[in-house]
Amino acid sequence: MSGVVAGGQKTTLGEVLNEINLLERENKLDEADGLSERLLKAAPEHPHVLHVSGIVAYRKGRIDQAVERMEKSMALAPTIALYPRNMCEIYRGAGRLDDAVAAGRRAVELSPEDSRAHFNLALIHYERLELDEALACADRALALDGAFAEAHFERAEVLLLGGRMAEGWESYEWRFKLKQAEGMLPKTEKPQWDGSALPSGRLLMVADQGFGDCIQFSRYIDWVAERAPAPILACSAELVPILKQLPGFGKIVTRWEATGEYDAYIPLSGLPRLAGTGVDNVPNKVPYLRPAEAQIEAWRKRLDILVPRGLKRVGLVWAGRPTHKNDRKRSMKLSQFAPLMARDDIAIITVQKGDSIAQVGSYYGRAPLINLGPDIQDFTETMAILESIDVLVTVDTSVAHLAGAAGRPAYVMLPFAPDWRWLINRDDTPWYPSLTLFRQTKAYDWTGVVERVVAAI
Amino acid sequence: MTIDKTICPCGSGLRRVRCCGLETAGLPDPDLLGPLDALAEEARLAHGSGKMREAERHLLKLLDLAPNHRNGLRLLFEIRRAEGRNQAAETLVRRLAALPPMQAAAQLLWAQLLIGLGRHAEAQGPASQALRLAPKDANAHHVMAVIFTETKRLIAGERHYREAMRLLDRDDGTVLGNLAWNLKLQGRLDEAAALYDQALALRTDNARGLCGAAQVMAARGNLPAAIALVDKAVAMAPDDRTVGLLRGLMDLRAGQPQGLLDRLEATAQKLAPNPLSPSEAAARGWALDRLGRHDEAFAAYQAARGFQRDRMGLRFDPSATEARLNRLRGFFTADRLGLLPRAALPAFQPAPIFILGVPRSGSSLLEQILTRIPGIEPLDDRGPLPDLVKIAPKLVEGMGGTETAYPEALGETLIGEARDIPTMLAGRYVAAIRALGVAGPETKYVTDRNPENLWHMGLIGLMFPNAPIIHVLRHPLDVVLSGFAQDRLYDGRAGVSLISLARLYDMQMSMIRHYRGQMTLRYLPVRYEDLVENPVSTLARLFASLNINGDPTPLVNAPERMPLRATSHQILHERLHGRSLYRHRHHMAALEEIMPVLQPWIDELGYHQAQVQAA
Repeated sequence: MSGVVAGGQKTTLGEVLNEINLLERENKLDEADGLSERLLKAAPEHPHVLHVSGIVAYRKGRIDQAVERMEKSMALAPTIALYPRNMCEIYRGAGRLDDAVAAGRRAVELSPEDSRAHFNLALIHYERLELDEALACADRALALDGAFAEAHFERAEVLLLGGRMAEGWESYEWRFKLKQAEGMLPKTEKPQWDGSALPSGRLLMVADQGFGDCIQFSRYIDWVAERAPAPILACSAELVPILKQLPGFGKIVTRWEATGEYDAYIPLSGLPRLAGTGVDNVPNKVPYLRPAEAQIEAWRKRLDILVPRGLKRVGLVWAGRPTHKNDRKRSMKLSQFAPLMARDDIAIITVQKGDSIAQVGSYYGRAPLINLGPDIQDFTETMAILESIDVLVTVDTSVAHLAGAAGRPAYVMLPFAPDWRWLINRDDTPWYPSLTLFRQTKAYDWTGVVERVVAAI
Repeated sequence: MTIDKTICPCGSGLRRVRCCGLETAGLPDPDLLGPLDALAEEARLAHGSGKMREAERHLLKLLDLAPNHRNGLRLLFEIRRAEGRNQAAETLVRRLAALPPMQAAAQLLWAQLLIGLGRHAEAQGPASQALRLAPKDANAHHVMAVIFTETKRLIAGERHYREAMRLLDRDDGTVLGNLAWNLKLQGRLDEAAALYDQALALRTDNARGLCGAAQVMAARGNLPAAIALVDKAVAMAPDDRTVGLLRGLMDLRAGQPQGLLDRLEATAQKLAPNPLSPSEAAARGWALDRLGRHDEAFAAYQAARGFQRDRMGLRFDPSATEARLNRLRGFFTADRLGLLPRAALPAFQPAPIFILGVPRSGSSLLEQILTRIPGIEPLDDRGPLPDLVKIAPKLVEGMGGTETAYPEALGETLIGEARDIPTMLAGRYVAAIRALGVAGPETKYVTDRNPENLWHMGLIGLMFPNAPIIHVLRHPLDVVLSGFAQDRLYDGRAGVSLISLARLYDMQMSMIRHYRGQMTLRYLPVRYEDLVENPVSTLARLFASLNINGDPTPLVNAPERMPLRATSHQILHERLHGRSLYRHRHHMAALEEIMPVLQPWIDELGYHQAQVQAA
């Protein structure tokens, strides 16, 4: 087919579709959207136009429209494997896991040699906590493409979530081959550390993952220091105030240029593997992080002024970093805590950071709410505040790790298929004895979770 | 050569080139104007004998020849002012005041004209100039006292009244009466009553003075005496509608809405076909509401607001308020606030309790209740925050910062010595409270319910990071309806229509929402409905928040310590009652037009559920 006008020039439909795909991959979503909408007007019944415009609509957050278009494309061209393969992911994003599984299976059926189709199906099974199926799908994807980093990583997550740590850590090593891992490690010819002894100050440790991971894995500093004393730590500036209190580090730097010479490097997230960590031998001597007494005292005094007396103090974090790959399933809205807000006997102390703080402006619940987030300068202040509250209620964010590392009581609200570290079928965690886990009983549905948390307070 | 005979659009009657289009460089030398004095004298004589047109003719001729003739300008100003041609009068008096050498009398004329037009803040400029020129002029002090009193700088106003009295060296009924009014506004009712007695003894014909005294009586709880005084005023000035309205409002206060209604009906008949004034029409609505005739009441409120729109040409203009909202929202962000220094005052006394509330939400009710607690005194709406907002940029500039306006100037407090500015402002706030005489040695807290507070929560947070900020919430439809049922106008002339009030509400609440979402504040919401329906438990929660010990039960029925303010509607002040709860239900159809603006707030505040439960 030809005759489509794009950018004032006659060109083929295929060229326009390629252009849209390119724009979409380059995150030029407005341009992609504009072009795909025009194309859809010109060819409203063309299955591939519908499919591509559906993907763009999904990326733009118009999920219902995306589903409608892509379902139509599947109906018009039921034997094209690409459509159900992508549809599988769109259904997952829309929270329609049954439909997602059906689409994923259809994609595999149509194209059994497509490793990505198997991988997508693995993701869906993970979301449904069907770990055996998820593992099988990941393995099939890897059988077709042994260098498929995302499938390795998915395999790791499935194994770790299921508690099969030793196997999981091995697959977990593929995380640095993921596209999003670029820049996380230094550009160096030096080897990754194998755990053998090194002279003092010759090991570079890299705080490679999110804040929570770094707090979680910083517990291994003692284990490292026994083998490679005074290691250099490279981390982001936000982590410095908190990680510098751990004895054992040599120097802490925030720029690669400042590391100086070293013989080997190790990402923090590689330490559990090196240390041979399993579910039963997680090093969990807490607290391993603690704020300064002066800071604790300053916040205690402030909270005594800000918080109405006689009320139980409940800390709250309802959202994580929006750029996190799983943020949609882990983060909530403040308004979803209605049962907590209705309590007469508590005060809500929010230690939320980021743009989500603005939701406090719309809070008019019965329980008094003190929005501490804007006055919190760094993680040490958050930890100091946790010393003055009775319990923290949080979704799966770095603050949960802070509470755990500081040994403060916290109720962590987890999605149905949580991050691997929280394991399954238990309300505690070997990583942090002071945490209690509250899990969704249905994917993407917080109904009942807040109620259980509130009942526990 | 052609002569430009265009008459000046200001209404002076002069040619434009001799009035607003005057080239001052071409004015005649004042020393050479002597030959024209005869013409000025003719005008004066004609004016003195009531021949206004003749006087005007002479004056227009005189001022065409000599636009800077002092006596000519003065006399034409008097004529235009008497005619109610305010723009022309203002033009003439400005020119008169600018003639060299400056004279205090001309400055005072200008100031008094502006006072008469209700533009008290603008009047301060010429009044100050008059005082500089004639610091021992009692009248100049009197005018300045009126300005300070009406712009709520009551202590400064009192000082000038007293200075005027000292300079006069005799008792003057008008000055005494005005000082009494000032003291009444300060809540010093006993002193005010004594002064009214003196003033009325000196000027027995002062009907307005009698009304002031009556309001003091009413505030002291002696309604029969108040009514007796207003009755005397009515007898003295039977055609004074303000006096008549006050008498009717006394009826309403005494529980006789029909009395007020009858009086207003009589006024309406006299006025026909002209309508009642906005104040009268609104008062008619209150009486009808009290009688349960809600539809008629609403029609009366509409009539009041219709008068303002149709006869006074008043229109709602939200642009300034929108711009203010956007500007404050753009500056006070969590990221920036995290960097700005906070005041570092040691524990100080009295500490402010800020009360927020969009107008008509019940903030005065809360203040009345709180100030029944020993150690808490009411600052009412006299809180000095708006003055500090003006001072802040000057402090920044004085401490080496760049010349910027508020709020951007606060960004400079990051730098050098300017970091002390929040502390300086907080200190100034406390000093201003002390100067107001509100706080005694035993005062621990003052309640500040300045209506501007909601715009300045950011500054409050920088000056007093731990100060309680109590937000009085009320059903949005009740707030807007209650605002509509007044003759008062709010920001941007909101009030002339329901939708204008809804939009103002939306902007004000959006401001509060923004600050709450960006700052750590000691914010405590209190619902007006809870205060009325469950005062004891509501106060108990408030006590816990304020760290006040004791049982709130006795407070609910304790005598009030709060002085009543003197505006007419406050004469109607009553103790807690439930009539005002959910009154919008009587008018749902009429309120339909504002639902798109208010429904989101009704939902956000959780009133939807409350209404359903209560229905």
